[in-house]
Amino acid sequence: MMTNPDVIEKALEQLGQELGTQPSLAQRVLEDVCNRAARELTPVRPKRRVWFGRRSLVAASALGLVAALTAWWLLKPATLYARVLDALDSAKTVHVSGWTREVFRKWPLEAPPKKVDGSKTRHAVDAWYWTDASEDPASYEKFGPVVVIRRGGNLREYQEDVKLLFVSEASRPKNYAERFSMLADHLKMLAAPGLSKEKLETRSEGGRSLSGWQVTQGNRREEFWLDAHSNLPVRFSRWSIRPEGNAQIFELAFSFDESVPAGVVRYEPPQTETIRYGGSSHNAELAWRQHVQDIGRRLQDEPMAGRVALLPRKNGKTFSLRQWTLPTPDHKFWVMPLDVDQQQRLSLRDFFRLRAATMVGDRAHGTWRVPREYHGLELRHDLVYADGTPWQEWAQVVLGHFGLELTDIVEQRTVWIARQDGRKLKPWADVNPPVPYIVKNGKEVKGLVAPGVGHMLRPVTMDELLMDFNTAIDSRELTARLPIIIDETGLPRAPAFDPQKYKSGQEFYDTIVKPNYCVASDAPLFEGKNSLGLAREWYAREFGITFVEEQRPMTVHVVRSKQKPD
Amino acid sequence: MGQRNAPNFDPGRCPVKSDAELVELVKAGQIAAFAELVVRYERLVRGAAFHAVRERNTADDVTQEAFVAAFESISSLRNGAKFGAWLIRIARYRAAKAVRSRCRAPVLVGEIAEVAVDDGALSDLSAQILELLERLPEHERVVVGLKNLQGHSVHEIAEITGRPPGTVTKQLSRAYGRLRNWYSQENS
Repeated sequence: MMTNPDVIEKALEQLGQELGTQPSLAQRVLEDVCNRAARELTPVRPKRRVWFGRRSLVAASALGLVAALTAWWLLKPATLYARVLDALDSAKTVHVSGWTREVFRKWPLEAPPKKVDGSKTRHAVDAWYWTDASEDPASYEKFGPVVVIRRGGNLREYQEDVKLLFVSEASRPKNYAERFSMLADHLKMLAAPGLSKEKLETRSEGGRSLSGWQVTQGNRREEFWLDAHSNLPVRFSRWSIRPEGNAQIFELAFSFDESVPAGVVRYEPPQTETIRYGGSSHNAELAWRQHVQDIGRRLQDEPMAGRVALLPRKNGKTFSLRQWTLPTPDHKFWVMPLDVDQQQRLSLRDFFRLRAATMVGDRAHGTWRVPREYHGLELRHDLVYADGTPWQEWAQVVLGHFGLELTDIVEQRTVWIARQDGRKLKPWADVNPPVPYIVKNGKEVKGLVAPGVGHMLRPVTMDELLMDFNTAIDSRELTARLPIIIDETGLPRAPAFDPQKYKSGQEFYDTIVKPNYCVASDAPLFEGKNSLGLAREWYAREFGITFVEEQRPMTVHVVRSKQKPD
Repeated sequence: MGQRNAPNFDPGRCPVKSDAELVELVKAGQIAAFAELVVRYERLVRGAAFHAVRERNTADDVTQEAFVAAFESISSLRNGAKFGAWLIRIARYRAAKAVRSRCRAPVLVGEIAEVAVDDGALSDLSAQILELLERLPEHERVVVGLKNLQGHSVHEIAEITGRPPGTVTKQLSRAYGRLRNWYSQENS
């Protein structure tokens, strides 16, 4: 029996889906490792973490170069298409000019244009491809009313006729063809199997010898003219084959190594209210932004009755947990995602842990008391609230969905006041890990520095370190009866993330938080009786922070079933 | 202003690093590097575990144990480029251990049928493909797993494994050939 090659690959992909992934497996593995290490720990011997130094970087770069050269050798072009790409790759800049009757759009027209152009309209084409100062591929493609610019993996398309901006973020182009986003598909016809490809008679033009190919696919015919010596494209045209006579669709001419005009390099699409997001299907952040925009548009057509609404997700739509509460485009509302991921809904416990509680302030971790029987209630909704709505109001709406309510009480709590001795903090990369080595079967495992583990798996701020404790100590039960750390160190705090100023939370973290406010890449959170002693010792040794226990009156937010009015 | 949540950033967003680089980073104490290896090999390890234990919950436990064991022993791995194959050997060992301990555990009469039968978590086709996948040589199983279970491109697999893209393509092609033949034989 013959097996279609696709059957095996499709079956493997189905297997991958059925095997699935466990939520937060990496985190649980690392927590398990560190908890075991902490349990077996013998007296602490600080051991410096080894960070990659300049020599290692030079060695890595040299290895990379060797790998790149090897890859180049193995991938030396064999086909005409590959030779053209290789030739294009050697050009410093590529300029394409000409005209087209077809306008290509990454984001398709959402409604027919008010004025139909007719097939005779010719649109000017002006496209440039170059490498920018940071070695990222860059391009500017103007095909009539549509301008597409690409900077690295970031692509923006402005459709002037409908005033729409399409934003797509993906990985950097994997090969040179991907840089020619509009032209790459056409160039690929040179390599497409099963198409009629005819070699045309060699021409001489402007002192150059040109070799030509004609490729026919269905009712389309394309003609490629290449410099016979360099394989660089010179002209590229397309016809539509019709019984009444062939009609030319576009005519493009190529030139190379010209200076890219400053206006092209600096081009930025104009501001517009109609923005669409796309890109990799893994780019959950963009998908979430798009979803918030859609809600914003819907609210303009169907205003909400009050200031807060809990909107169920239609068609089981889900987004990754790592999303932020975002404003609608008119900034009148905020939209909070209430789900976990494809596999899980958001439990009420996680709503408090992940969405309602904050690092500091009056609704900090450790101040919530949620009876256990309510922990498992589930949500898959968007919480929408008007800008300026107090948090108590939107929290009440979520609780009201389950017939619950929130009430505040003041009671004496055990608090640990964190104070610092005023020393200058080390850079986060120089901070020694709280568990300096792994012990296995009573022996230190050589050659491995055991890290402490914070739940964020990345360098963290002091706020986050202390929050880790407040979160971890009461995260399972939400009793608000355990000790809580209050930060009185006076250390500078990172500003709050402003979605208006930064393209993403990642950008905010990389440019502001990590270089200026991160204090460590580990957290001293372990299970077992040694844990608190280890943590205190680590805070004192690495940061000069000590903790003083006190009793203080604190507000506790208590969840209870809705009481009937008296 | 509205509520802002603590950022929780995805360690998987970094550019692709090779297994060898990640292993070195883990040895140097960079925890996120191991998280990346877990994400990279989770399905392959779960596949190996499931193949042996035939039960979803136990396979999940074995998967986690295998990664923990790999972390604790990583300093003994001299060639980081072989991390994938090495990890799968650990997973198989752990899975075999789980099966042995399950066989030794006292089982009530009513539970026997439940233990002996697959829990139906995989479709027939997937179960058959998993069986065939487990027959592949280690290096081929790793590249097929990275490509088809984890969704990496050939170039990414080349970077991950430190092999030239041409070699990866050949290994994939040979592996698909074997799988096709076995599949044809078993379904003829």
